[in-house]
Amino acid sequence: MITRDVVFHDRYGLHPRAARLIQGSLDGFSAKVSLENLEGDHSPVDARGMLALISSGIRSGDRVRITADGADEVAAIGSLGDLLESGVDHPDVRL
Amino acid sequence: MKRVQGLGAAPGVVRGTWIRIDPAQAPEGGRIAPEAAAGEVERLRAASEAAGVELETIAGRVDADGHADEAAIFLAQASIARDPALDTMAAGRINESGEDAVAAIQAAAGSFAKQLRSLDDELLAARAADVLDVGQRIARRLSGTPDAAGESLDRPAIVVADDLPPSVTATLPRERLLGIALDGSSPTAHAAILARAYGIPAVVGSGDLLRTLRVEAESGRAAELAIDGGTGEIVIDPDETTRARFDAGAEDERRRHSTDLREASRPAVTLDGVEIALLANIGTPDESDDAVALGAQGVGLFRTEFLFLERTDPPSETEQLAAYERVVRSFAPYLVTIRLLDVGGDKPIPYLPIGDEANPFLGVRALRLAVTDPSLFVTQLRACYRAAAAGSLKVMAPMVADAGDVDLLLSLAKRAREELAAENVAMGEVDLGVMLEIPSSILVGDSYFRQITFASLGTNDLLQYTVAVDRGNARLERYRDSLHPSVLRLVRLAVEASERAGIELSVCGEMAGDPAAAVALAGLGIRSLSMAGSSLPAVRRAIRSVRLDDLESAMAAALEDRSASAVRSRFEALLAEGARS
Repeated sequence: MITRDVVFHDRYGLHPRAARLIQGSLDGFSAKVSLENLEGDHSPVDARGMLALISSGIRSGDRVRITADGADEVAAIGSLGDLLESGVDHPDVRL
Repeated sequence: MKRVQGLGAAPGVVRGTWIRIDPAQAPEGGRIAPEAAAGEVERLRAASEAAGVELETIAGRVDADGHADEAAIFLAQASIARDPALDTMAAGRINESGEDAVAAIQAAAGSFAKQLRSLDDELLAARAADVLDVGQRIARRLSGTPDAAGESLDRPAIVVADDLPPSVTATLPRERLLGIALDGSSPTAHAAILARAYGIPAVVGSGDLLRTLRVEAESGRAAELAIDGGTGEIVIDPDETTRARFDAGAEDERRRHSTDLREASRPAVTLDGVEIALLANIGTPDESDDAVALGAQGVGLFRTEFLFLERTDPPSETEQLAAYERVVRSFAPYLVTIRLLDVGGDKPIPYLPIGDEANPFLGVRALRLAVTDPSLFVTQLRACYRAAAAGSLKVMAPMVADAGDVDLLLSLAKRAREELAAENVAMGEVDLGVMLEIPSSILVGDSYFRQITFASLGTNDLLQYTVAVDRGNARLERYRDSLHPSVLRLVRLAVEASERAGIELSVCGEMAGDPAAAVALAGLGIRSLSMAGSSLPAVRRAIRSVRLDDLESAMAAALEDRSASAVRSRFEALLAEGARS
């Protein structure tokens, strides 16, 4: 079992579209992956669960702990961790 | 006549009869014997799966209508329908509390919705409606209840309801849906988002509309409704004056839109006969059709970031090719200008190792990434050369500072061409150019302009890099106007250098879509402007209302002005004069 702490960035918070990106980043991995909001008193939630994600109360700027457990835990945590670090915000298209 | 005030949720004014659409009858839950629990859980799983499939079908339809963002609403709902957490909670209730599947799924969805509402976040609270919507959909599949109750929209009418689930909003026959007025909901709810996407006037949060309608209807009134989706005003049985006011508003809108479409074929020519080419900026292929209808003579800026963001690996050459070809075909015979990937450390991408930078806008961004990661750009250029087989196109590099960057662009393009030639893949002609958005690229333009065929001024970043002001910093509002005399002087230098080198020059920043700034640019010698499609009609009218020689004299004075606001008042005055005569 491994963990990685990241800061969540999305000015709209963890909304359904962001949750779908999180689910997508775990497609094809078998490890159990959870997310825990480290700000305040929260329990870890299933990173593949839409309802769990959107009701996790994770907001932009919150520290989040990813925990992965399984044969491909390293790759799974890498995929999700990289996504969260890069931010799931809507692209701010600039000229 | 009675008035009810709501919140404007989707602009537009409409008047007509109304139809009340009630939420589908919520099926009644019941109880089961303990030995039936296993079968009931199975039934629940099948119904959840069926609901997931239905929601994906709705998503497909909305997507096919050209509303990809709105389709995502239903994909998220499908994901909720299939969420094991919902299933686990509902199955638990079946096994432990003896509820049947209908009661259990309603209770489980209600519990998640309550949790979302408790988060004290308006957006997530609005998503609670999605969860309840999904729960009821599964319950209806379990009990065989139809999806909509109340009247059906069998004639053109304004739909009134307490709230409209997004799935109902998306499936109402749009040709008969005049408008939407809801007692509940909020402007951020999906019903409102869908109404805006479909251009249907909507008022939400009116609170007292259904009750007032019922009271009025009991006295034989409430035949007609008028709604203003901009101001949130709802009028029941409008009197003569009010009707006239709403009709005038609706007529204004219709006239404006049909005028815009009719005028779309008119050239943007000044009163003294100089034509300015008007092109569109687009961010996705979906925006092409509207821009073509509004008379865009090609694409001056096709942003390609949409292909690269929100994913964990870069888009393939084939995927890029499909997107580029689609736009090239929509605009033929006009040209499309593709901008190479423009990202940096402010918006890192998982597959691009940019690293932490203190100043991402002054860091390794856009073309500068090609030094360490040329393949990303070679792949994009290969897709461009291949798309050019379907029709000519132009490609420009962002974030060019000097001749060295142009050498890099040309070598990447050469590599892409040589690879394709070696593989015998069909390709077409591509004109290569640069974005002028860093002041140095203009100051040393003479050193590389002859190597390229065109340049395009990205005035948003040009302003930001010239006056050293972060565009997002609200405390520096004073510097936000691109008509800053420093920017005008840089544009003039660019015009002169491009004339000496004999290359095309255009503007694709927001400045081009602002009527006063657009005519000012014409006064500086710019003959090609690229802007958001929605800005085309106003800029076209502005250009047709002025004389170029007036613009040139105003510009001669403006170059000596001390502030952007002084420059702006000069050109606004010219436009006001043009509108009067």
